Amino acid sequence: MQPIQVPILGNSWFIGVVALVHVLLVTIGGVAPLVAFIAEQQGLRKGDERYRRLAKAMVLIVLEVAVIGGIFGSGLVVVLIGLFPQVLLLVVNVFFWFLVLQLLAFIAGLGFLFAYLYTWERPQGLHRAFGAVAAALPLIVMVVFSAGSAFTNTPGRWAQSGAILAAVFNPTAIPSLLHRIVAGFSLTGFLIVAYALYKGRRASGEERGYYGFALGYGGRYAVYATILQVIPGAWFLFSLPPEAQRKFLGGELLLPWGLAIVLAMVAVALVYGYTREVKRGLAARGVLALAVVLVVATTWLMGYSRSQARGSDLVYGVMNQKGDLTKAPPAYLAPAAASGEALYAARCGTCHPGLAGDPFERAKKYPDDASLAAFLKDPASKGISMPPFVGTEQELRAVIDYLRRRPG
Amino acid sequence: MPPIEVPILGRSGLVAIIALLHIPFFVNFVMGAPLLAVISEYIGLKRGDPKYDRFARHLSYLALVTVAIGALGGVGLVATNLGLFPRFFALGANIYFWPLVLELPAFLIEAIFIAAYRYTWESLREHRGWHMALGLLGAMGAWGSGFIINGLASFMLTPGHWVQTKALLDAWFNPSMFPSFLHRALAAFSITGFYAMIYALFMGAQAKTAPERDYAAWGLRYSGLWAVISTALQFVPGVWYLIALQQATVPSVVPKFLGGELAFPWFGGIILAAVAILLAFFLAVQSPQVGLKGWGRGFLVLSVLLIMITTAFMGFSRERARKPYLVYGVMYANEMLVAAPSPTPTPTAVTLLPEGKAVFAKSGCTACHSLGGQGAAVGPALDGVGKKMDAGQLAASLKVPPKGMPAFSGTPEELKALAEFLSGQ
Repeated sequence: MQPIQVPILGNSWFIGVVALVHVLLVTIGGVAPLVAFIAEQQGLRKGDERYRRLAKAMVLIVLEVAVIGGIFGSGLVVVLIGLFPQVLLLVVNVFFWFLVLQLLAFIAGLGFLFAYLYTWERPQGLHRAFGAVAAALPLIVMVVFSAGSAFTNTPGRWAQSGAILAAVFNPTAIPSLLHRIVAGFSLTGFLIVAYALYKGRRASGEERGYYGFALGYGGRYAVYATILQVIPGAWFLFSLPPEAQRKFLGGELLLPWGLAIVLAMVAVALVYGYTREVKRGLAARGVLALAVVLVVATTWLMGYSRSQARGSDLVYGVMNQKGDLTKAPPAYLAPAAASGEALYAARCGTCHPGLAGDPFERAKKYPDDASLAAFLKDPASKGISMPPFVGTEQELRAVIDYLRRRPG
Repeated sequence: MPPIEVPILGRSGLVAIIALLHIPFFVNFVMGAPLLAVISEYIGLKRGDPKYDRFARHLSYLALVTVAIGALGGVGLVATNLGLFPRFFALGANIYFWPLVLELPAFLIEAIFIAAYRYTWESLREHRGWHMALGLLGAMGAWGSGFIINGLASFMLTPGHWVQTKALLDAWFNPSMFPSFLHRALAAFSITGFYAMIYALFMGAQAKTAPERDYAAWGLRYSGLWAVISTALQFVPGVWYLIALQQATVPSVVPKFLGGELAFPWFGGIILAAVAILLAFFLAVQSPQVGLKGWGRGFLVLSVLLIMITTAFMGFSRERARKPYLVYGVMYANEMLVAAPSPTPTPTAVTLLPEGKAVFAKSGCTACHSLGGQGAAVGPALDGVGKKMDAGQLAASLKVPPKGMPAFSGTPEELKALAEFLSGQ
């Protein structure tokens, strides 16, 4: 296969652009349903309709944000498989059943979000239950994706044991997840600020009161969550391997990382200063819009730093830039001297047992090994449309032994 | 990498189930619903009948929900398929990279404009032209992405000239691409019509006043018309598709449908669709009042189930027609590549008298023909060719070949050896 070259941007930057948009949107999409649910509960407790109005607006926005984030996610998968197939194939192979789980969580989560919206006029038990489930399910998706992404930075003990749990609970899995969830609260806060500024730009009277309330509400999330980021951030940093830590603390990543922190501090200061007083905030749209831009820039710089912390490896210490495995569990490394069981899994497991039936039972139709070998080499001669066996005589021998050994 | 082992179903079984859940909603309905909504809005505007507008508005909401779930599910869908068929996807993404990148803007247009169409329903009340333009853009995004994916899906059954040229456009505009797309396009209207019948039944069940009941009956009749007409019309692209498969010189595929191992799902699908058409015609189009109540409703729900089974049967037939290949004549179902023509013979072999089998191997015959299951399926399989022609006829045919096949370019000795080798097959 010819490698693909992306003109002008280059492959890494092309992926970077798609990934950054995707990560920004899904970080919001993962946490905003929870923020909306909390806001609605506050509103119901306080008997204040403004909370519920904001919560509903958030649900509608998050649907669009999540959809566009999801589309960029599909785009990211396609771009990765085209440009860096080995790393994506590895991560998907390791995390396969978790990906199936998150696929179900995705679809169910969105279904519950629509149910939550559909029952909005009857905010009783069922509606609350829908909201709670819709808030919880995206977090499952976040756990899986965050683990997969952290795995590329710190594959940890997986490289020796090949155990799936070692890959899922890799050294940075939990701090990285917390870092993303707190980022979700912070970005959702900034999103509410942006929403209040945009929708409230011509409002007056009672409407203006609502948008001022929304501005203050979003501002609090933006300020507190962003400040809180220090804790999972530090935890994440100190869970990284020492070489990677040094890049942040004085090395080549000090500039983007330090700049990101400074920008976030400026954004927090601006939001804090201009959202405590509603009148001031709604008047200072330019300043607050700047704060939103700064925090988006922070997210991108942080994402860039995180990906660069791997150095030139695609998976730190496991897969180099060219996509070759440098250190991995035996099953991933040596296809040599493949056992009959491994050959069966790779060559026959596509269709068997499944749609093509039980192969151990079928093998009994050929009582002697020679006729079974002849059949496997040329199934078409028996009118069976099955791929012919391609490989050495030893491999064929191993497959036949395996087929004979396992009881049908 | 160790393969993913899927108990009971096998890897292809799991993909089949995912596809079964994916296609009727996220391909057919997502293409059909926004376009049908715009068409209905337009008819309503022309006739001054508010029922069309209401129908279109609800349909656009269902389209929006489907797009949303499809967009998110899509990531997981692509990723799980990738885990199950890594080598195929790496090959597909390599051949088809730029069309797949084009999917991104197509999906974005689809999601953004279907949402805009839905959310501007009231605010653009006075500008229906602009409003319908938004809906059309959304529908265009959906149809564009369907057009791109259909290129890759049809390529798997008829890789066509790509086998020789390896050119992207040959892969995309492969021999069965257009009939396959038309087949899917009509399915979009058919599935949307049947699903809209469920919507009308739901509205009927909720209706408490006479105008509400009238609306439900009208909606049932209107959706039924779409369902019946577009499903009946499927006959045309279906036949075109079969002809295209036959002409793409894919041997042994069409007979599988007409009487071979796929006759059961294929004829079964046609019969079930015919039953669904009859039910929808009599209970939704002819007498919607009967269809809205009691057993009539039960039979209409059944007709939708039947059409979903038809979709599954037809999809099954289409996919199984490739057996034992994943990409016909190029890659086997277990992701092993079909053996490429052997490399040039070693220098010592040249000095010896040419051996027929070696000449066959080095002449590149297997780029188009297969022998003993090895090789491509562009031209007819060579198994049994010796029964049809003797060595002399074969040699003549190799020198002055039939249309579309290159003339043999080796020495006269090699030609003789090759003809003798083939006559023994």
